[in-house]
Amino acid sequence: MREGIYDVYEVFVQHNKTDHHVHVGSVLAPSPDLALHVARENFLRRDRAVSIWVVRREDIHATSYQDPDFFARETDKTYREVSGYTENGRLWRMFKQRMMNIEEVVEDMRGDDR
Amino acid sequence: MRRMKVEQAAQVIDRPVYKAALIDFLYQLADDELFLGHRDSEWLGLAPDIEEDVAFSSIAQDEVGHATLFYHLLSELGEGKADDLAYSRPAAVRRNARLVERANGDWAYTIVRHLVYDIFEDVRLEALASSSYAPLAHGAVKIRREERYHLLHMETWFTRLGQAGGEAKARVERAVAAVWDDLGDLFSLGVHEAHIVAEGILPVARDELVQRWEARMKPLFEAAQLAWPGAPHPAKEDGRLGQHSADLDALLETMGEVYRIDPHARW
Repeated sequence: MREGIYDVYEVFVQHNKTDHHVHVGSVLAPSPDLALHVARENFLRRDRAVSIWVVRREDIHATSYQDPDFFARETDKTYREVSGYTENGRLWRMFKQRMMNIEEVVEDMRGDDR
Repeated sequence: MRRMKVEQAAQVIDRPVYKAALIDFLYQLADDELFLGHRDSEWLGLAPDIEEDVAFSSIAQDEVGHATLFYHLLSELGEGKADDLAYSRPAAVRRNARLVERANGDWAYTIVRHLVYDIFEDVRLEALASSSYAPLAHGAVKIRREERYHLLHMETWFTRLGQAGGEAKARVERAVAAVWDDLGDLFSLGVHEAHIVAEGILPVARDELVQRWEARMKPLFEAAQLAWPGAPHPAKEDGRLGQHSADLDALLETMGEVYRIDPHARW
């Protein structure tokens, strides 16, 4: 939304150098540098920070709330989650117990050559 | 025409004609999705950029997931375990269109093939939402929601590659020619075609499917600034009848490699 010569800027604050910039809100400002100044005053009156980003809202590309199917997850996707692998530890132990030792493997391969 | 709705698998036991047509058609759906998904997965580590690598792998998993849904419907009809249906059936009994078994070729071929298939699939799933077989109709609605994003992705790549001109456009044009050679059997419904349509399992005739597909494809060719190659030619060989290329043998060999080591392994 453009109001006169002002633009809406979305504000992202980084509290430590090892943190991500996190969206905290927006400000109305006539230029990017003034947006940075007023963001500092409006969002960092109490908190410490090491960096601020401001991005003109008009420059943000976004998905539409009118298109929920963009995010559709209708079929089973548990294989993408850690919980899909809870059985692995037990299966791996079972497999190892049955596994041949190295001498047996060598013997087995020799057998194939004959 | 009022068709009888079938609410669950148990109701087809005493309807052998319906059951045979349904089973054959479900294999078409399942095998199409499985092989396209497998081809997609072959881009792992090779896609144009790392973001696309992840995106394409997720799409591959979605397609295989859709195949799983169809194989489960077949299991309910007494066809056996989904894993076995996916991995152990030889090429001669596979019911997929030849298009989806083809080797990936370059990125342009991959995108063109996928787009052509995804539009076809969307048209088919839309029709299946009112299938006389209720479990299939429910599945189709779910799958179609997930395919929305695939379509968007393929359309975006297709139009961008076409509009880019130069080598990208030349590769897309070559890909279009290759894909069009394989289009015929995509719309085939196999030996049970008459019953599949008349029983309302797929309540839309083949010609109508082709028309709907063309109406969706043409604006995309226009947007990509590519010449429309014309209507699909009738198939010389029909994958829906088990007539497949050597590409499928190679695919089955690779895909089933681990499965064959121990078909009874628990995963």
